[in-house]
Amino acid sequence: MLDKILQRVTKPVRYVGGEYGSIVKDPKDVDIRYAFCFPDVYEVGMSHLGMRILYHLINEREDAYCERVFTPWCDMCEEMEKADIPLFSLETKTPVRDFDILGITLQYEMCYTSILKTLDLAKIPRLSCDRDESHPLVCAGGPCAYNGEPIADFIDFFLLGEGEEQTMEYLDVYKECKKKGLSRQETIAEISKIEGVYVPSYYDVEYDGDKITSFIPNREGAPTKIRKRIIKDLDKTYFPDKMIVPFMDIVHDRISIELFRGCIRGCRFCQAGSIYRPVRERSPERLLEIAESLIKNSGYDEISLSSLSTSDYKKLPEFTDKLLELTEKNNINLSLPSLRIDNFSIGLMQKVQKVRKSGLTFAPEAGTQRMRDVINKGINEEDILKSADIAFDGGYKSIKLYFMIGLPFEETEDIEGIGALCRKILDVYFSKPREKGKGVNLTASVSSFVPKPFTPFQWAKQDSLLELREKQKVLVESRSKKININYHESKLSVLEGAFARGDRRLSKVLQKAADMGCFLDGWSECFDFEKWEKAFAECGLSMEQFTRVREYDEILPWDIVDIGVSKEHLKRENEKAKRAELTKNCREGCAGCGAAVWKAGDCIE
Amino acid sequence: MIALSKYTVVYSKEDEGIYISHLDFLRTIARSLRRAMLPVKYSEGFNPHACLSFASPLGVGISSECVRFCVQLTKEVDTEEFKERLNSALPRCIKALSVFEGEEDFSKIAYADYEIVTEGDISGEQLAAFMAMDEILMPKKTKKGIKEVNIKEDIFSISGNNKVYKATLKTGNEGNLKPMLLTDALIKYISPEIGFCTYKRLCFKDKNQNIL
Repeated sequence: MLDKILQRVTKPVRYVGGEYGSIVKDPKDVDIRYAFCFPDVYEVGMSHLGMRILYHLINEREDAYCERVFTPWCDMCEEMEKADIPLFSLETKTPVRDFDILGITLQYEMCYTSILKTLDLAKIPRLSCDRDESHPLVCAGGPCAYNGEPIADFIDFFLLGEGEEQTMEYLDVYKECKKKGLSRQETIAEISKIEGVYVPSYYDVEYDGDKITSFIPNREGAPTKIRKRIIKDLDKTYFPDKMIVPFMDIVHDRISIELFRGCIRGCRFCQAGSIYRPVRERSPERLLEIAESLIKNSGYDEISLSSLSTSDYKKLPEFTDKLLELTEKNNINLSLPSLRIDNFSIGLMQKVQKVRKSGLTFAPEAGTQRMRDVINKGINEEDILKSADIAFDGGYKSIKLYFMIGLPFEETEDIEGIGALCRKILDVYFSKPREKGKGVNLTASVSSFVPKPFTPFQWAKQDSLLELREKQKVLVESRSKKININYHESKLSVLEGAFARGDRRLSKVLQKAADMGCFLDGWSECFDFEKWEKAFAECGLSMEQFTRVREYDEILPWDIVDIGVSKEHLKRENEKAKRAELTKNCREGCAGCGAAVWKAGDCIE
Repeated sequence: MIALSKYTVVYSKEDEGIYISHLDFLRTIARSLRRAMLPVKYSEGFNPHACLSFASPLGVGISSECVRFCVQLTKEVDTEEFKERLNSALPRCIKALSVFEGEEDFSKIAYADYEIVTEGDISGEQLAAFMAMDEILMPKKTKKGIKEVNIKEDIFSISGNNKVYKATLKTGNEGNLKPMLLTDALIKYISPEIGFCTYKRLCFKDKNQNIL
């Protein structure tokens, strides 16, 4: 029956499994059947490094079998609903409903309706409280788990922080409970004792208008704060030496090795920089070992270095030298995103790229020095222009610049500053002797700032659609025609903002939107803003209630989580932002953010 | 001067493999060869790619036991070893059946035999009537939109009974008919009861109907 449908849908290969490197086990031989779900389509989910790590980690256990689940594309969902085929795993085609545990990774807020679609297709009740002994436990982890409140009603337990150790722990506990014949609720209670596990149903939330008046445990033993888990020594922790090689082209179709976690920079808009602290690096030796075995076991011809700020890797020159030896020997391309543009990196990129990619990316983020200081970006105009100079000398003719509008404490001149900065970069190009007829291609990619939890800007008021549109107009009018401008869809940004800092009241909005057919919202073909506006309205709520300014003394929905970095530090940074005062990076001087509580990585030096 | 060794690999593509598109398939083979540590020759120039060539691509939805590709290696490898190493590096839905030295001339391919299994039976009379039609017009999607084409000339023969049929169809540069278009035509001109079909390519033939 499945074959009939597969002949009719687009890209059927994403539903069949069988890829080289995918794990085949006999389900009868294991005690735990785990379904790992990335709530988006295969091409997106398979590009996620975290999923690759956890998939192989769990499968290393002889008593467990981890299989993959993705959200089918619209046409496949329709066919499955028509034929009454419940959602199944890729490896054995087992209905997801029949698994012991369903683990969902939360990488971005717009995937929430896809989670509901996945549960619906799997015929698992949406609400935690409606599930019984016949259903899998439903858990979730990833960056959005740091404020999981909008989906708290759908998740049995959240996993905060890094999963390499925590996953093994809760699988051990699960197995014990199953052996003892404990009930679903008793099992969850046992798992809740593990550090970093947050069971939302153990807490009641009270509101007065939009403000939370109390967020307290409703049972004995539930902690008032849950601290995230981190891996102290990345060199000693598990990293798979093999990987699944998809048949089809996926978003990031290459080997990805993780250099380090966290970031020393402390840019005030950036959530990743906060939530992944403290900064911990892998040693060059360990990285080379990983690279070598993945090259051998995958057959890929491209490798990419993954981290928040590759230029900050302490031993980058020595490491890249050795890595280049390895890649040249094996005929492999090296891809280097997130590099600061300086002489070193341009030299490296020229060595590395066999076919010179003509594009380079810079991220000034803001148009004026004052604004860059507000966000603690730490680069000045001189640096930017020097980088442009080096890039143009290196033969790069296509430059992309990332900016944000809607940042806190922003004025009109800051928006105009974006156009002015782009013009100055163009001037650098035109001031050089160049070949006739060859132009430069300058693109400014402008996104709308979304305040995120656990950043100094978590109290900020997010700009409304109207305000954003006004600012975009200023930008268009003030820039030179020689510059291309790309806008990130601001409607999506406002919605993202509502969920990023939302609370449990959003649960009914999500359900309503899902009932109206919203899912795969990250895709422009599927995103329907009108349906969302209707969903909010029918629930008696508006997006502005969640993108509003917060007061320092308010209880925030994510206060239940402890990420190391303290609220005090974030408040201090926000005050400094008001004065456009800079904070040094971790290596230049410790700002006492709180991540040192683990005494790991850069914090002990 | 490196002696270039050319090999032809005969392989099967089955089960979930039938859904792999040709482009994805090229990548899959290139990566499998790398995993097998077979010293594939790469082309010169700015954007080197593996020296691989494939006989008439198999469309999505068709399985086969007779597909083949040619690859150039930078040094000699024993054919049995080649086959074993490649098989250990291939995904399970693709199997190398035999490897022999030398390059096959894929341009000789003019026809392919397909086994088609249907849901509903087609009687001998119905088949004969179909083949006796002057023209068999079918809408075919082209770059410019949908065109009506006459596929009669591309069908050499169809035979069989009891829901299992063998069709010899034009394949290659002189004309190419996908078995799906044939069954769409059978459904259109005989009966929709024919239903869901599965396809398997059995072998290639040259223009004189000799099996290659």
